[in-house]
Amino acid sequence: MEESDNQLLDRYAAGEEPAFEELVRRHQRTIYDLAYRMLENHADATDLAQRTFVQAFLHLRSFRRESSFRTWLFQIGLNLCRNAIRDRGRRTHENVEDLQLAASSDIFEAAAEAEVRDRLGSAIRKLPERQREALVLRVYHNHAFAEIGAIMSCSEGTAKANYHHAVNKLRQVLVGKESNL
Amino acid sequence: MTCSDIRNMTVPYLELDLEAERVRQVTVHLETCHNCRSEMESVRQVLVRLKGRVVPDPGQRFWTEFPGQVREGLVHAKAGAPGPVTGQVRPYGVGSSWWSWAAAASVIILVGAWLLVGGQLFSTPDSDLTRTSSTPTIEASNTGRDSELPNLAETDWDRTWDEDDPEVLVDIAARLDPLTVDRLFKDI
Repeated sequence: MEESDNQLLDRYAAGEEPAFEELVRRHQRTIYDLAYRMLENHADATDLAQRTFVQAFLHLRSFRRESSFRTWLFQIGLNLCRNAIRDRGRRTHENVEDLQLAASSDIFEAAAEAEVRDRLGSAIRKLPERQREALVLRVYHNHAFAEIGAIMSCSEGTAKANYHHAVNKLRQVLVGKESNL
Repeated sequence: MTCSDIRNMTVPYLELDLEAERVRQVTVHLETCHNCRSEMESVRQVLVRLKGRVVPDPGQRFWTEFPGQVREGLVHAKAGAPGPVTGQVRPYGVGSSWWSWAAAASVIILVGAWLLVGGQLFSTPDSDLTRTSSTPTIEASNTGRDSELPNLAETDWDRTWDEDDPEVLVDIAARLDPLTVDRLFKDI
């Protein structure tokens, strides 16, 4: 039977180094996936995923086990993502509405499915921060809304609202695009 | 139930996040309302396309090496130094070589500087810092801070020198001015 995260954390705290590696291996793909979906390139995602684990183990004493270790990693990872995105100065002057205007231009009239996917990616990037986080956590990591709320430090209702707004904005972008085809 | 109500429940409906009775009401409405059906289908398309977006797998080697990189970053973070978290996963040991050499060189230079300057500062009050004939004195450590400093008189300098990498010493020597080199190495 597989050990729980908390059992591994106990072993790590007792000085058993293999427990450290097992914990990282267990969650590395998930955290990398989160980072990649938020930052959208391998180098940044790798950097951020590593820093997420470093911060987690560095401040392990502050993990009170009120949530799962996985949720805690997501909290740290998302905070680092926010900082990284702000540092980059991304999304400061753009928003989804700009994209919708672009959708009506002739430039995109010959769009194919691949382009729609690209547009979807662009639209995701331009979502407000909280909406994008809720979207990523829900669609790609299958978190329940209560858990998304815990990760994002908000209520379950707020998490749902952020997610619904995100999906509706993306729908508007795609509908606006496809109506021009 | 109005079309506006349905629109507010489109995402929860597709997410199976509605009570059974609500699901039934929405389903009944969709059977008779073309607009809401179109709306529901467009949202479903968004979710399908979102789900279809994949993250490229960086490969097995990446995952194998990842825990080692985390450990390396953790060691550096605990040491208070900026971790080598550069966004590129490197094989074990390779990534640390530059930092190791830099740290070792820094320590040796600092120790050398301490022996040179500290020895002068802790010597007699009238010592002349520019006097080239003075050697970094062992007696210097006997003036006031004995309890904090190593007993230099008992240090086996021959063995200490022998253990140093000659390349490091040459590198240090290249950074020092001729007078300092003379003071440090004239007896060797």
